Amino acid sequence: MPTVTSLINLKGGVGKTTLTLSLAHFLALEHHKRVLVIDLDPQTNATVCLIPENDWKTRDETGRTLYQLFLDEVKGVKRFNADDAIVRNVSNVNGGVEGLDLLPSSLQLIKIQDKLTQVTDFESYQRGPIFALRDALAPFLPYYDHVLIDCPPSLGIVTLNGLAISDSYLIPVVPDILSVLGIPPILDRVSHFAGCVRRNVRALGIVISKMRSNTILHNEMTRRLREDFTDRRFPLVFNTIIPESTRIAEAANVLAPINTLVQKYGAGGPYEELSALTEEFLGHVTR
Amino acid sequence: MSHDEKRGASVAAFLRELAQQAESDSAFATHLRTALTKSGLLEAGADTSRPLASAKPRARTARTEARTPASAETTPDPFGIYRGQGEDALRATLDALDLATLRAIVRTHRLDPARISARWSARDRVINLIIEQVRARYNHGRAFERI
Repeated sequence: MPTVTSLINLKGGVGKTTLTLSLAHFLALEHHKRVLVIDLDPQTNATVCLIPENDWKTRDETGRTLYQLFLDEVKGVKRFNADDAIVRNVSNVNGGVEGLDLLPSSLQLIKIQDKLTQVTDFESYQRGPIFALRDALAPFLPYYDHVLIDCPPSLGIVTLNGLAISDSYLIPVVPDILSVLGIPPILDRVSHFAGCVRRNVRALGIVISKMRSNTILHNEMTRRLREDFTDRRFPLVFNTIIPESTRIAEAANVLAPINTLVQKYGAGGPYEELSALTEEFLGHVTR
Repeated sequence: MSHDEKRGASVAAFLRELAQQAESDSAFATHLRTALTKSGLLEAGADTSRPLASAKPRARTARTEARTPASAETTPDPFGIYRGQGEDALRATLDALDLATLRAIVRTHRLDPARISARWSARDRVINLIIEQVRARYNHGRAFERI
């Protein structure tokens, strides 16, 4: 069975999608792993970084995104077919990366999130479509070595579906005041949820991203995050720190001509850090 | 990676850090510009025997043209042409340009961050890259307009 890791933070813009995508690329291309990216975020950003937006649109209109899965739950029907929905060998690197697959998200999830929330009991989790994703993917997960889940910045029903198949979660943070605020509620609610559904979902660690090492605030907050780990208040903080980088932002362009990861992320910069992060991730996730 | 390559990568990383900070912090960019002007480094390569105000640009020879390709001010704006006149007009404009100018357009608008096209010698290939990237950026987000 694969390792299944959710990337989660209640704050938006902390690098969840960026880290999901870069880990997926490095695992598939440099470590030759079979990787499935599940994009649970209705913003659909991970999806359109891996396939052109027009392809996504066509899939969305033909029921081949996660919208159909959750719409089925609302309507009480079974139309979603995971085999059709999973896009194989995605990415713009070399025209597609073998072993890197995507389960695409949909903007339309916004339209049904409230309906899903209304039928869910968020204290006991006895009621609501908590296991829709698990049930739909059960036959396909054994094919993969790693599953990475890009979660929306919330702990709603869609995120819980991701946690219900996860063994661990990563918390990307920008080392600033607001991003760090999102950590304690995640630790609390994930622990509560995992206890209710009797699943061991461990906090793999915190990854510092979008670091601006020339600012006092970022350096100070990084030091405090490490101290909070030492004091057992927070989980482990990964040694590798991902810098704020124009190159990483540009890597989101799925239509750019790219042949290698060095070209995608730039040598002498983010490439080295992202490669090191993947090594560190593998060290922790397979432990 | 050789010693020289490592040193080059370090310098590149340092300059990138500096550029990112200047991009994200306008006050820092202003300080940097002032410091650079005061340092006299900007004039280091200029002809110091003539006052700056009366300095005229050197005539562009074939040799200097190859070394100093067209700048952002002298290259056509592909996005403006695509938006105002359409793809055919953009292709016609690009068809009339030499390879150095096409490459300057690619560089100026960062249409190929990995610089894969720097090794291409066929003009058509570079023209197609510019058109594809301009079209993609111009239409970026269209699929998200109606949900």
